[in-house]
Amino acid sequence: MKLPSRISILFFFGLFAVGSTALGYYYYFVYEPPLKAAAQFMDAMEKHDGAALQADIVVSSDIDEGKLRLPEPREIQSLLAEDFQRGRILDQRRHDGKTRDLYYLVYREPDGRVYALIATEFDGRFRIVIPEIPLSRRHRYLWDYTWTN
Amino acid sequence: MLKRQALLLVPLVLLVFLSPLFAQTRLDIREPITYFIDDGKAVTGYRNSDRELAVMAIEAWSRESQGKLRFLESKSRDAALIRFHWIDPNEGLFGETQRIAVKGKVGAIVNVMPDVSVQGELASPASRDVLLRDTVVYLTCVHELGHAIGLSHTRQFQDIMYFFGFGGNILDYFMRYRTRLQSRTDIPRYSGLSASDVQVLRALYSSETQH
Repeated sequence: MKLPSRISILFFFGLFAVGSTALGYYYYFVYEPPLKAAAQFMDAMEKHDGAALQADIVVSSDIDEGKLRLPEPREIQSLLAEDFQRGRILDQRRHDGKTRDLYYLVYREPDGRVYALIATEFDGRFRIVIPEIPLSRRHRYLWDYTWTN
Repeated sequence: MLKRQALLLVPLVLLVFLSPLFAQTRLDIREPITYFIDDGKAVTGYRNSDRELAVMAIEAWSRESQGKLRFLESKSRDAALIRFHWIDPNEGLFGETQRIAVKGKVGAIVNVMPDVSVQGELASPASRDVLLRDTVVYLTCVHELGHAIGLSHTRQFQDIMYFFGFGGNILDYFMRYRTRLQSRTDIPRYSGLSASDVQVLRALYSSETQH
């Protein structure tokens, strides 16, 4: 049976509206918050803003187990003492942790070397996860990360 | 959204060609490195025998390190420094290694995708040749485990740590290993590491560079 053309147009219009809403929701509520957390972290590091950094990071002793805590003052000072140069986020990959989702932000240092920043939601906001012991040879806030495809 | 993701891929591809090789974090080898292999029964393409391939990969690195790397299976996943995890097909991914800390020690989660039927040009030949399929899973385990113990990608096609982003024929890469096998029992005879891989491994864990 041939449908009247106005129904077809309405159908595609509805499909477009639903699709756009879904994409918008995904972008603003799923994709962007970890990136925003990374941007805030990098801003705080660039400005040597300890107070902002305190709110932007969380420390992990075992990320797979989801063991997170707020940073101690000495950890903030240790981070601020780093020779920070803003890198670039190239991609993000979500991993289901045991207790929370972890967002691996594939991060390129200014010299081209690639690591990950990890973002996760903690106490209602996304923060950058700092490992309790160094997990890269570069900076305290970077994690070794590789993938093969 | 898709355009944004596509734009993100451009620098990703560029960095593969431009980035220098980078050093990673070494494991503490004063004690045996504990490992745990997840059950992959719920994972697409997983076979029960894949666990054995992961164990062979672990033994291969131990052998090639001349015993410097000693591995010990852990009864508990939470206590293991190296955690093998089987993953469902995802964007053509062979594997992925994430650095973790376990009770103050450096460890890693090694993710391996066992469903070779989705790996482009490998899919068809691997579906007809189970030894080729096992070769792909085994060499992926070896490669990802190499990252876990601290090796980086290389640009040399003969290396197990070679990154496919540098080009080359992927089927050839796996076939050169496959052609050495008469049966699955031959896998422990050939680690898959090149002379250069072995050199990097031994330098990384030489007594001069220990903690």
